[in-house]
Amino acid sequence: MNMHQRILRLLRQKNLVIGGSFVAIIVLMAIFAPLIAPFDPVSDADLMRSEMRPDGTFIFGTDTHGRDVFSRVVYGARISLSVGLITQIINTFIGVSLGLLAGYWGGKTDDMIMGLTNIMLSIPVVVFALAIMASLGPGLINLYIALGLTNWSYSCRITRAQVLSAKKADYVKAAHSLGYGHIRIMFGQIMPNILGPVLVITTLGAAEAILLEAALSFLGLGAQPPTPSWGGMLSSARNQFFTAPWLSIFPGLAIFVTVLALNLFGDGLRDILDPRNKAKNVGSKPK
Amino acid sequence: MHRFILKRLLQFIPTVIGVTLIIFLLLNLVPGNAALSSAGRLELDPEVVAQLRKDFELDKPVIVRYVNYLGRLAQGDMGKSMLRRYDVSEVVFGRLGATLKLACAALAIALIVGIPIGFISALKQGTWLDIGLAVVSVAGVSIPQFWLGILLMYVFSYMFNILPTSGYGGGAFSNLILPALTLGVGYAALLARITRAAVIEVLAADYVRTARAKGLSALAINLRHVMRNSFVLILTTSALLFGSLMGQTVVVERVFSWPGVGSLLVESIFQRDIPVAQGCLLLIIMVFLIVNLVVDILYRVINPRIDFK
Amino acid sequence: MKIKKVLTLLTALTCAAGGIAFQSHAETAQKGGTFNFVAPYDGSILSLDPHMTSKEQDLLVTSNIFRSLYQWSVEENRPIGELANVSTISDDGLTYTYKLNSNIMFHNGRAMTSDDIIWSWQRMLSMKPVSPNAGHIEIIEGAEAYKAGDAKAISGLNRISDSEFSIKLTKRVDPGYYFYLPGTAIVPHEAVEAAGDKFGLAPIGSGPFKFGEWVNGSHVTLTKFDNYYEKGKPYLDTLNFRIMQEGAARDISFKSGELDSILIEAAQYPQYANDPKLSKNLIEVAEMYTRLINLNPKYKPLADRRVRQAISLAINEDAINSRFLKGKAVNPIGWLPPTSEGFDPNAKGFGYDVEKARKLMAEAGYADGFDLEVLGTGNESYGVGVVEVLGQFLDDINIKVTTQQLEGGILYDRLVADDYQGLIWSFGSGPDPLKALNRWHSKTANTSGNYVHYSNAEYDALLDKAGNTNDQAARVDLLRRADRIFQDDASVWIFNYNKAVLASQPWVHGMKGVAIEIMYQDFADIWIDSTSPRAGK
Repeated sequence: MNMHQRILRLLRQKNLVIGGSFVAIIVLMAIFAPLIAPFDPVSDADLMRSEMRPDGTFIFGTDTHGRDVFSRVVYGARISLSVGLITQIINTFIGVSLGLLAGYWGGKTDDMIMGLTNIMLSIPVVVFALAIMASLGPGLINLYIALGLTNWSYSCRITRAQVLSAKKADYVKAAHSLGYGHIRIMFGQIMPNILGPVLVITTLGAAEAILLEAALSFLGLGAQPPTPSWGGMLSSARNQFFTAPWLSIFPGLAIFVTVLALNLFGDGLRDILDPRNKAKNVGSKPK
Repeated sequence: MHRFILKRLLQFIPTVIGVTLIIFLLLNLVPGNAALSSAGRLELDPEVVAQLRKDFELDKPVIVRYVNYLGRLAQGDMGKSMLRRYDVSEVVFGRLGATLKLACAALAIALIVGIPIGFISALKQGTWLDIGLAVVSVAGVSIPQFWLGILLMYVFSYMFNILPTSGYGGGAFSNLILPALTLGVGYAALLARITRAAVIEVLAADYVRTARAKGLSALAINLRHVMRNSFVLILTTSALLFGSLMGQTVVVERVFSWPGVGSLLVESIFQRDIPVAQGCLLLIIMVFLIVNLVVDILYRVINPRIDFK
Repeated sequence: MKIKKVLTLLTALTCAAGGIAFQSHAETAQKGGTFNFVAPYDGSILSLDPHMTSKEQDLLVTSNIFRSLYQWSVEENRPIGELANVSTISDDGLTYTYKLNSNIMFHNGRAMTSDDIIWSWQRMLSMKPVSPNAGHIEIIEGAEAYKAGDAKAISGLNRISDSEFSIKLTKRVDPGYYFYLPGTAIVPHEAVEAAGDKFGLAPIGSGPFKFGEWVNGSHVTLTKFDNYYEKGKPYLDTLNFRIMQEGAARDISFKSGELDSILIEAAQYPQYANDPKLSKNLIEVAEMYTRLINLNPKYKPLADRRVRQAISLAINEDAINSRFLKGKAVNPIGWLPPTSEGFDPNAKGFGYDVEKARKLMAEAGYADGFDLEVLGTGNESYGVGVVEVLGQFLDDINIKVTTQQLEGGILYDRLVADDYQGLIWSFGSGPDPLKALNRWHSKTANTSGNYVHYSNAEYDALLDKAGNTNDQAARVDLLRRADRIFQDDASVWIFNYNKAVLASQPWVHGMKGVAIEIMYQDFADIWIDSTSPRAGK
């Protein structure tokens, strides 16, 4: 397959392209927030301009505190993306480490880890995160912890499965016979193989984490005010749903678009990375 | 077959014990206490607080309380509610029916809407129709539920005035529609994506390709082979989804004042009625575990060739 | 505003005509129908046993199933005898003799006697765990000894006959302020004994409505009690309390006609107040809750009175109340709200004067300001949201405000441990003005309500004097002077009194602005006319 064909195949994954572009836009928005946002999301508050409708100056209107909703939505990208990213780093780290341990060593270790994974799988993530947030109290850092600790069972399972099949593979056997250490084999030989599926899980997990942040905010256990988190903005505007709709529409749309983009991107990644799909592509009619 | 069921049942017990340990530690680390909360606003007599603390054994170490809890649980006693002062089992089981009803209705919506969408997108994989359906279904998962709930309430209860806004309403079907829809939409979308993946996988399998080669019409292939083989996967996934569904009720039930375990869980966590919160969590998780156990066994019955590790 | 005028007029009429106005009111009342009300607070109702709960969410329902010795009178703005009336008061002002009204029946058909009163209050003190409302009973002599198990009966509570009994108090107070609370209601002993801990699941009282159905987490249905002792009442056949925590859901339900009356949130208030139709049926009242930020004197800058005064001066409370709380708050003056008997109509608040505030800060040596961390819950009207707004104002006197959101129980622990700089909350400031002001008496422990360790000898002396006088006018005057001293010391920053607002459908009659808690509506007096979709046939 030459370069040209590769690019063509990538482009054929429309969801990957569409999702990816939106994710890129949102990431750029987060990075350049101070350049894009005309006001400070927290300190530029003035009660005298409380709840103004969208106009030329405040294109998304102002909130009850008299802050620019547009600036808050722009800065909110930082919060939401950080929730997505950090929780997934924690999740992936836990999941992959445990998965590697379980798959590589097997036996008692495997039984213990899989037992724990089963327990984790049986506790719904929202409920688990809710309980952790209740004991830690609301706040962004606590949110990272709560969402980071609760959603690693999928990456653990997938890693373990990949390790089990890789163990039988020739290159790992070869590495063994060459006298490579366990750590080196794990990270050098097996890790690259599980990168794809884990990347998919991470992308979809980030989307889920952003939604969970909104749900926890609704229940009063999200990021603390005045943090401009989309979930928090949406949740605190729920009583003004009809009287000041701009307060909920814009953060709501921001969550929607971001989660949508991440999901599309994740789906697209899966279609590309899943080896079984390649088999299918061979069998399908050429387009 | 009997050995398999027995083995699954034996696996069940450590999982349940592990779950109770995690729940207990987690909820007993929650700061604050029901003694305060039961006294209402921050207007209380320190003596009353001390008395309540003592009456609920809050002065004993966590480990002692856990061992006592487990011992009582083994005898079917979930303890007493700190705020209601009667048995937790009575409080939580009284709420289970409503949650199961809501979760089942939502799952039904998810299956009815999600599976056909998944099938169509799989068969039309890579076309604009597939993308369109993907966007629609992903959109379904991407809406914060409480937002969707209030929106639906506004449209159907206020604008069209055809459905009651909230509450259980004596169990009327009309009261079930909005919460079930709010909860079901996301899962329909999720199920559509899972179905799509499953069908694509089956389509790529050897026997389907063989069937194609034999010249059976495309439709016959779709219906006979694909459906039967995707069914198993969808069944197990639905069982897994059911747990997550039970979890999501915490948000939907609160929006719609639905008298289920989910809203009770949130309330009791906020009120620091730890025994009730434990009971709710345990119940939600047990339902999930039992559903999965049953599905695993069913799976085995349907498809005995599958090798379980 | 219109509503208030109507209310005032109504009150004036009642006083002038001596009940005749109410008589004619009752004549036009239509009977029957179903009323859908809300229980808007913390979610599920926990118990319908009035002795087992102190939550407004529960008591707003039980107050219609049960009756207490006294009842809050909106017209007289104080508790008045309900089940019984005072026949004599001893010279020392401590012993009250009561005569039980005749014809008071429990829903099980038995007539109430004075034994029921004794039994009910003994139960509150002896139940395990103790009733959260037991504190109100402890004003009776011997109640503490009975609670501790040192006595077989409450020595100050004596049966004289089936219909007469006496109460001896530990100190000179108006007992009405202790025994009007729904949490001190009278229960029939045989029903409680039969049901045990589960009495609260299917309660039996003597109020205007019988218990019907309770779907935990969804609604409670009450039905008319035919043998209720007020003749011709209640008017309604059925009364539903729907549990609805979400303001948006209540709003939609009300507008779609499903609910007959709802509690309004600040966010929805302007919409209701500015709508020509909806505003006609609003009931507003300054509830007896004062919202404040406790300023911890152990945090050095806040120990200086000038700094505390500067804080009060630098903040524009009116802007916060009108803009952030959208007018659903009453601007602050002293500790006592306008509905309190001890409120001084001539008193003025601190006002908004940044220049003066800057001067005071400079005098105190804090011209460069300091950091102030304010703790609070997520409550929309008196939580961290309000603190966020403060930053805008306190920036002007160089005070940097930060906030931390905590759960109520933790907040309480921090409060009593003096582990805070500022802490935002809402405290009861009524109905008894003496009791409300005594919170800040230097003898009140910080754990019992004087959280900021307020201590001012002059203030204490005024309160002690007020407690020992029988002259009502002199008493009120002393209380007003005390309140002014407290206000001037600025030991807490007061920002408003809650303005509670109920919206009702046009067919609803008889809802009142109950200043102790607007949700404590007495449904014995409420009726709906034939334009209601749920009117009686």
